[in-house]
Amino acid sequence: MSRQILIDPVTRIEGHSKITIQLDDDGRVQDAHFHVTQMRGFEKFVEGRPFQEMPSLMGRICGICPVSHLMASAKTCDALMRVKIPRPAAELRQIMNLAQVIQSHALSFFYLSSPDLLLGMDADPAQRHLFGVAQVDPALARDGVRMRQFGQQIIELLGGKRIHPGWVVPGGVNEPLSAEKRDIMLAQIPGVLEIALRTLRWYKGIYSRFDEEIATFSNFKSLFLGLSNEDDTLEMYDGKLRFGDVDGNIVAEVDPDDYETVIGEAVERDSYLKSPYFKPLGYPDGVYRVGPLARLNLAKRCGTPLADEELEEFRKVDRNSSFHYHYARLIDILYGIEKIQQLLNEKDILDTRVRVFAAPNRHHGIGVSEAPRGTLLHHYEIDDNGLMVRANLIIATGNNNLAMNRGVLQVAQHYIKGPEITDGMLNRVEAVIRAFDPCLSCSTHAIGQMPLHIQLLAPDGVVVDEVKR
Amino acid sequence: MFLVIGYGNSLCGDDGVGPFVVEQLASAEGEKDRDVQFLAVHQLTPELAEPVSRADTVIFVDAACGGAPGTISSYKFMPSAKIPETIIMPGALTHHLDVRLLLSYVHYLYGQRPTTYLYTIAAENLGLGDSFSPAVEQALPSLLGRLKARMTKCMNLALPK
Repeated sequence: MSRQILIDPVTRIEGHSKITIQLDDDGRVQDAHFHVTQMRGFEKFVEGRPFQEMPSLMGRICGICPVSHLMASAKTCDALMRVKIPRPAAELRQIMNLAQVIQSHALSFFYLSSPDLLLGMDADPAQRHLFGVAQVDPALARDGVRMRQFGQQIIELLGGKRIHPGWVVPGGVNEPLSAEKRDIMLAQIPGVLEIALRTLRWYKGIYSRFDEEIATFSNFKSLFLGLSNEDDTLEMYDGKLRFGDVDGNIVAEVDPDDYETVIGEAVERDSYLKSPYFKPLGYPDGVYRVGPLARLNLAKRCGTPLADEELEEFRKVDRNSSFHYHYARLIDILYGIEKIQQLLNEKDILDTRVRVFAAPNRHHGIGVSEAPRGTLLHHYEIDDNGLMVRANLIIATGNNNLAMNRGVLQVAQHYIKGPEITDGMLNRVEAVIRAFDPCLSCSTHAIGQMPLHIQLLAPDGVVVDEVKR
Repeated sequence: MFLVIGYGNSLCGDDGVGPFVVEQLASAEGEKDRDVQFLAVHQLTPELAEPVSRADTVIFVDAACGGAPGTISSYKFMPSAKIPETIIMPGALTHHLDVRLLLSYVHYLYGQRPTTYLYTIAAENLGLGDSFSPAVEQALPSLLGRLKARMTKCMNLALPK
């Protein structure tokens, strides 16, 4: 009799989801799905509101990455007003966006994934968490605390608070940077650079313990999507949408305004998470990945000295494997710190002209940026009075939905042998999702928690076994 | 260093009492030259371990469930390196902690055990909204008074003889 395994909820991710694994009569994995089980419907309830409210409203989608939504939303408003914001404002926005990437990546790597990396996928689940890491390697845990603190402090210095800062506005930012704040930020750079380099050394020393996971964690050829610029350097704030392969060969490149020519959006009945796909390949063949791995696969170089050195080494690993999202995340952090330093040293960074004002001059606008988890796109339509008629959000985690589903199936088929569910198996099925660092609050615009539930189902759909935690 | 942390969601009625009280204390203490830091936060997160580790005394302020609304309670913590086993659940401990877990985390990471107090006020309404219930509103002056008294006592104890 075939059975189904249900993992509900999936743990150590941001949001609420479950995984179902369908077994055949011989106990072999036949199919597997990642379901996101909550929604809030921001796209719908913003209809009728003035477009100027969107940055502060959309930022409320998530408590982990509000800055990312602020950026994409403010850029969409810029497009509706048809304005080019002052250069210092764009630089300041970039600093905040990079600080967001750093603090979010620190949470993902040090808090959520380091228990697996340090203690092992088969470690006792009673020890495989933040405190287990603190007991075994307190220095690593302290580095995580410090790195996240650094990103949050920069957001707070610029925006006045760590979560939901209202500083990024349509037309720029609402306050220039003071020399005192700039100097506070610059003084912290050497310490966090050292942490980033130390953590990279540590990761490079341990990843060979995970050869089997590297070979099976969403390890397949696919397209990658990220922002591109004329220099072919790592781009986090602006540019075109570029689809390419693992070696950076360009398959398609379009202006964000033309995103609908390359991205289609499918909806599955069993998940609130949309499934964007590369339109020319159709659904579901048009699977692509976004985020740190995609960004590094697409960029010719990072554009900062230390990150460029690390990128050279990174190119030697199997970059089709989503396990190396962890590796790429650390290089993103290193790049972010160096880039913040560069931007803070720009000669116009203290300029007081940081905002322009305009009425709406278009009925639709599109804004993109790179969020920690990948390319984020907001698309708004407004009426003659500037009231929202329609919003469409393509979220980083949604972009990865098809790849995560393939990854769950790949891991399940490799690790699940026989009808009994072991914790190590269950943890690996979760860990492949964790490697993508999904933010389900963002991607479904939903509030979530982080539980786990695995269900074993018979071919007729009857639940034969169940594990909850 | 003296640290006061108020935590809770200011958009969930009485749950916002911790951050509110800390902001009141911060504005009252703002002009005084004391080595005291105030933090108003949504929840207790691992990053707070660092400032807590630098403090000699920490006071946490939170809303509580249960008891007659507006009732003020205070506790002194004896920090233990042992983590309460009932709280250790896979998947927990990543986004927020409670006071005991945060103190344990501080001890593991920094080897520090600051003197710690928790003040709670029993909530009546934790639903959406940015105002307090009448019972909590009425108890606020008393809570502020007790916190100020505790701060003064602790700071006097810390003064050189």
